[in-house]
Amino acid sequence: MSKLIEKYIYDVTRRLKEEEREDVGNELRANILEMVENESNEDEVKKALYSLGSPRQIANSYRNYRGLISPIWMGDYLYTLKIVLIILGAIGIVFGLIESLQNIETNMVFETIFEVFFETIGNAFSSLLSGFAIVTLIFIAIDRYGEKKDDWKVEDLPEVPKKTDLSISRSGSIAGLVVTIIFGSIWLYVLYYSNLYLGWFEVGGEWVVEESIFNLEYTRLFVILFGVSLLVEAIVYAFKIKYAQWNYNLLIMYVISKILSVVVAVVFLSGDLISVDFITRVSTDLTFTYDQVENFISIFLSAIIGIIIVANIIDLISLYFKKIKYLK
Amino acid sequence: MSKVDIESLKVELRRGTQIMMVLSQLSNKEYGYSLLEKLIEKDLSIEAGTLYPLMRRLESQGLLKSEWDTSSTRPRKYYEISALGKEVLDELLSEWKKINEEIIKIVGKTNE
Repeated sequence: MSKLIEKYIYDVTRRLKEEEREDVGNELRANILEMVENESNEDEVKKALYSLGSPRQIANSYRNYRGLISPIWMGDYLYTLKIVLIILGAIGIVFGLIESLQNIETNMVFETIFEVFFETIGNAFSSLLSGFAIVTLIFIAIDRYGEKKDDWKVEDLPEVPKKTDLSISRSGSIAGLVVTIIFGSIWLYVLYYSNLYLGWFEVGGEWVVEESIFNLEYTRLFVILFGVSLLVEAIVYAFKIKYAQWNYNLLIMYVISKILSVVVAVVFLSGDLISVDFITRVSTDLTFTYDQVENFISIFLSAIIGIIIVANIIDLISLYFKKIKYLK
Repeated sequence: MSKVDIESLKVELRRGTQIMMVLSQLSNKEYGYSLLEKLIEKDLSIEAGTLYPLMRRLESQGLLKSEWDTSSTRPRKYYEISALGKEVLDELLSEWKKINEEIIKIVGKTNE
């Protein structure tokens, strides 16, 4: 028995259903043996096998293949998949952020950013995978067991959507760029000299900065990070001005800049932002305990984090529904 | 202009007609290779990799019947057209005629 023929048959039949493997194999073997005069002549065997074509291809013809989801359902499937993946991706990012922020393992700012960034991406990715699996399974079930008749009425036809303009107003982008640069610079300045401008002021008599609200060492660490994030944002505005309409490159840059700025802001707000001196001062002056004040501040900061995340997700989703959907 | 894959269009067009060719040649028992040779002898272009799976598929649809002959040293699986297969072949041939007439009517004589 020629080893080559057996290898070929194995490579074909392993792609088929268990119950038809043997029969197909026997038939294929018989046919191949008819095609060669002498099965120990390797060149002759090779020629016959090549004339049959690749094992993958011939197995595919044997399989009588029908996709998991028939073409009739494909459009609905892809549409549902897209919406579910967007929603799950957003949820994955939120929970990924929350989870990774609760388990930060290093004290280094850059490492923390990396850790949070990759854990968040990983979390979003795994929820995307499960979303994909669930939607696919549901559609396979609908396809197999659903109504075979495709009843429809003209009353059920959807409205024709308004054509959406993909253009971005240049003046709006310029205004955005200017605002970003002005407030960005002010923000970086405040971060660097926070003890001068944000502090506990003694009212009555002279106004003197006694206790800085922020941890100066901490906020200075973030000057570079916020700087990078602002720079990326400014670059996106520059491209918005250049293209004056949405396209895929712009969309990718926009999403990256959003994620970057959210991650930087969230990491910034969840660290040792508020100085110990300030908390001590507030608690003594307002007759609370130190823990109470600290607790209140952390709830307040968490609320801000939540608002930032939700606002950005809403922004991205509305961008999708208003514009990106119509990108060709 | 986008480049059309003319080969795959041809393959697609051919696919339906190959069923008629195979059914029409199986009024007597044949095994895979003997049918292949018979078709090649008549200058029909079909490949072994297409023919063998096609015969099997037609059998699973009940258009062909088969039996293994193990009496000789080389076992062979013989195929023959079934009563249903004959009916289907007639239907397909008259449909083919109709399509042919329609094409000629709409684009004039081919081969011009």
